Amino acid sequence: MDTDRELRFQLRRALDEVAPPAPWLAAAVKRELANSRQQAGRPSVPVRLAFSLLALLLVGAVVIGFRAWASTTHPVVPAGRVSVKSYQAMISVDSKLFASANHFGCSSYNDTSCLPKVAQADASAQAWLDDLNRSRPPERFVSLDPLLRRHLALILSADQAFVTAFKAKDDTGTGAASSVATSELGAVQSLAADITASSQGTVASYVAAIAVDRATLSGCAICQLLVSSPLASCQSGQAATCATDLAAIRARVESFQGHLILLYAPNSLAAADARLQADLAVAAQALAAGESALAAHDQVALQASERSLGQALVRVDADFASIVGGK
Amino acid sequence: MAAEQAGMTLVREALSGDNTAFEVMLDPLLEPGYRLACAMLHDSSAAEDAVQEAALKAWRKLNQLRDTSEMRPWFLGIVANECRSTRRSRWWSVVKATAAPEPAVEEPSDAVEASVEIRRALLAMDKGKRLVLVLHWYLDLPIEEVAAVAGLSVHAVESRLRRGIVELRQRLEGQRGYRS
Repeated sequence: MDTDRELRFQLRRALDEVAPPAPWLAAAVKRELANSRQQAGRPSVPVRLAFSLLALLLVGAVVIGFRAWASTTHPVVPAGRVSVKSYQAMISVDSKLFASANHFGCSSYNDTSCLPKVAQADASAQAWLDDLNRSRPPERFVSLDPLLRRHLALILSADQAFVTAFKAKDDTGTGAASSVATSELGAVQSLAADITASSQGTVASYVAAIAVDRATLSGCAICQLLVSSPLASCQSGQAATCATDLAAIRARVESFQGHLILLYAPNSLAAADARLQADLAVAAQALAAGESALAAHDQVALQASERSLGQALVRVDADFASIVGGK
Repeated sequence: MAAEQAGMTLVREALSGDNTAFEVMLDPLLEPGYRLACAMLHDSSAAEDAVQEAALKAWRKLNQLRDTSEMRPWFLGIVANECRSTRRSRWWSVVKATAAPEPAVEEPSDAVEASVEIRRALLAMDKGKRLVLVLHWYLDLPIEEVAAVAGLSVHAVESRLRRGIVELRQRLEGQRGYRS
């Protein structure tokens, strides 16, 4: 058996693997603090208590108001392209309502509150989708807007599958649907956080941030394999493994896209950043096409999307090299 | 002594509304806070959220801080609490049957497999033992500071650490025995 020292070394290595560098964190924290200070100073305790009560009442009023609005078709969100601040405010409100509606558990098939809770969660996802459909995102968020819509739509379809499986008391079906919904929820919340905390980076912080994401892509064996050949799992008809591989690449690509918005490029690197974002968007589209092809058992379309994905990843690497070389 | 005085000056300045002073104090704690959250949650996005929330709470509760030497355990304690209250949204507890996984294309290396086993074993432990193990073995905090973060006595931390190591070994042996 390992000595304490060996075990400690193994534990450190294991935990280092789930703690990737986050050079944008200090900037994000400062921004959150600045936002929070803008909203409320540091008043005395009794005043803070009064503010807390007032805030509770306000939150209640917002929730009731939002629900009332959601039940009508009256468009609150302005049509057409909205400003960065309005879009962020909309995402912030929608994501909070969405998170609140999705904080629940189902313990058994006899749990009569389960399906109503799923329906309520779906209503919040649909309300968010409706808001996104009513407005055009500002230029800065154009790359993330379609990703948000896609994840929300996937949650709705996973929930539909969950409800069907729940009624049939199908363990495998409820497990699979629940797992998809949970994973998509994480993706939605992560994208929403990137949008609401978005701030401009300096040359140094921007380059440091993209270096981390690029290293994550370079360190991904299946991403590198794709550059030269199709994925073995997708070729050999191992549908579940192929889906897992595509999802793993998608998580990395989307995380990269999100971080480019969380800490967006300084003006001097805007053109190079636009190329990088465009190539990541092509990769994301190819992944979505691959996942659709896999679901439709369309091997030809699957191979085409894999080729397109591989080429996009090569261009992403070149974009990164040009940013680092030309800064 | 001079460092303590400088630290208290920073706390006073932060309390009087000097935002830069608070950020100067907080800056060196973000990285350990983030590593702690990653180690507790095994999810870097959730860890970032936990640290951001903890930073906001620290700013709001700054008047509870008595001196800057307590700043690290105080902030890590807030991060640990954030990790505790973080619960995966939505859960479904009935599921027992899962589809048999398809055979992997490549066998993972021993090191990768060992890391996965350790993380799995850690996640299966109760949060109290996991926290003490992570703080002492991963973040290298002295026992006294672990006690301050966890809100326990030094004796309780030592005992929990011993039990945690034993449990970690047993879980790993269980996993390895099951696999072979």
